[in-house]
Amino acid sequence: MHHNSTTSSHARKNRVKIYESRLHLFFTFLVISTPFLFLLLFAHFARISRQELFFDLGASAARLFVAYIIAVVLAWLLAILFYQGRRSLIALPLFDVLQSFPTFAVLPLITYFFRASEAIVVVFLILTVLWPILFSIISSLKLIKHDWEEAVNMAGLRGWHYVKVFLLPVSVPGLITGSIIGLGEGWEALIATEIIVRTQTGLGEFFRAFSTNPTITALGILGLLLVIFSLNHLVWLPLLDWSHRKMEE
Amino acid sequence: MSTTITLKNVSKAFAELIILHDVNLEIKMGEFFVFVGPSGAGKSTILRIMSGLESDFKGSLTLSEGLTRRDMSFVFQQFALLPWLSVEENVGLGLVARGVPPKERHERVMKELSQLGLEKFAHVKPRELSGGMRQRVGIARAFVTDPKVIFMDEPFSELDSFTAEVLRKELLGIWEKRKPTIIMVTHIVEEAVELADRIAVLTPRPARIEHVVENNLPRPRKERSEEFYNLEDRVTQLVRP
Repeated sequence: MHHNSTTSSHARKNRVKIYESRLHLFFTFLVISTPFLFLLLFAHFARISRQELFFDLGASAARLFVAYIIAVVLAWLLAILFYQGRRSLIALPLFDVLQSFPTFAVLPLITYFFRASEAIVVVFLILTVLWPILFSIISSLKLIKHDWEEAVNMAGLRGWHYVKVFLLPVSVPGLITGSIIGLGEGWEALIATEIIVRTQTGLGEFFRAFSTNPTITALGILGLLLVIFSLNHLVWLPLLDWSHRKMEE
Repeated sequence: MSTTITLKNVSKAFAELIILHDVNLEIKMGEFFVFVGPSGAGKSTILRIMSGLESDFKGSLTLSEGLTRRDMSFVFQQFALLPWLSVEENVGLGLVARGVPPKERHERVMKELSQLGLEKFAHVKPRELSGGMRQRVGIARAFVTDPKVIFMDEPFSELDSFTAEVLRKELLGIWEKRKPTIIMVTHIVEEAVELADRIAVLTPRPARIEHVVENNLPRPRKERSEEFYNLEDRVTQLVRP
């Protein structure tokens, strides 16, 4: 009983610590609200319907999110299957060639055959986001300390236990680093894909519609960068920090 | 006394460099066996071969009937604790692998932790512990599966001499109660004389077992006694011919 109360107060202290001061709290609030305020003002002055603007942003973000989740699962499986041993001798060079494959070169052709669809956008996004995540996870796994490996082997962990207790936690820092790079490239590839595929919704459609208006294009890009900055500041950088702290000895 | 592990003509080379040359040895059930020799003499390599961590060698390794890898555990020089797991989770790894249900796992881990004075640190991460405490976790992890054989690779060499002394006494206490076979490596002769039933003296590169010294000093051993010093001198002479 006594023990429980000390751990919970410990946890509370940690939580409070995230917001060290009112200034920090205020800044966090600013980071959350700025992109929204900017987009609202932008829509107002450019005479674009707010619904349409947020719908385009939402549609694009949803595509990226779905592609990201699939890419993470794929990257994790491929990394764990192929990071070491004889298999890696064939797999790693193959991955490297595949990641350099110019997907945009075949995109018009595929669009021609299959017509515009959500699926094409998502598949091409997966092919963009996958590689940085895969290679970052592989590099995390390759940095495993020999000592840890021996300890886990001596404990007798095999199969799924080995993956769950050992390989998954070890690959988390790589996953986070890879996600930051992958999603950065992902936003860019997303807009390009949407423009080429000519989707009915999304940021690509938005920028295509205003392709002759430099002011709106510039402000639209600024809005997107603000959103990305906020996501980075609120989600990814704290996660990166946390994942590395967890691995500290 | 029956044997647990037998080595016959075991040799090991990395490319041109011969690490072990023609090692023959029988480890008895329940004994405290210590290899002593200078750094780089291939002591760790012998331990890794016997424990199955190293499978690339020449010669034969025989485990006594009924003895499997499951009955073995290892204490590492640099502790080898997983930093993302708590003390309790680190110690429980071997029980997870053996499919022990969570409740029983918790009980067995806590019993082991309290034996080493660690029960208050069950939820702490290894990085928050001192070196001595970390190696206590390493020892708890080795004992929790009730192994028949425990390998120890210079388990006290990362610790200051005071901590090492206390920990050696604790280890002896647990060993005398539970009597697993302990096979340990050290480069400190005094440590070998304090702990071992038998001491194997290794010559450097290629490592070869020159002598196996029986240590019949009565336990608990008095490190300041004349007999202790005499044996320490004898073994030291054998290490440095």
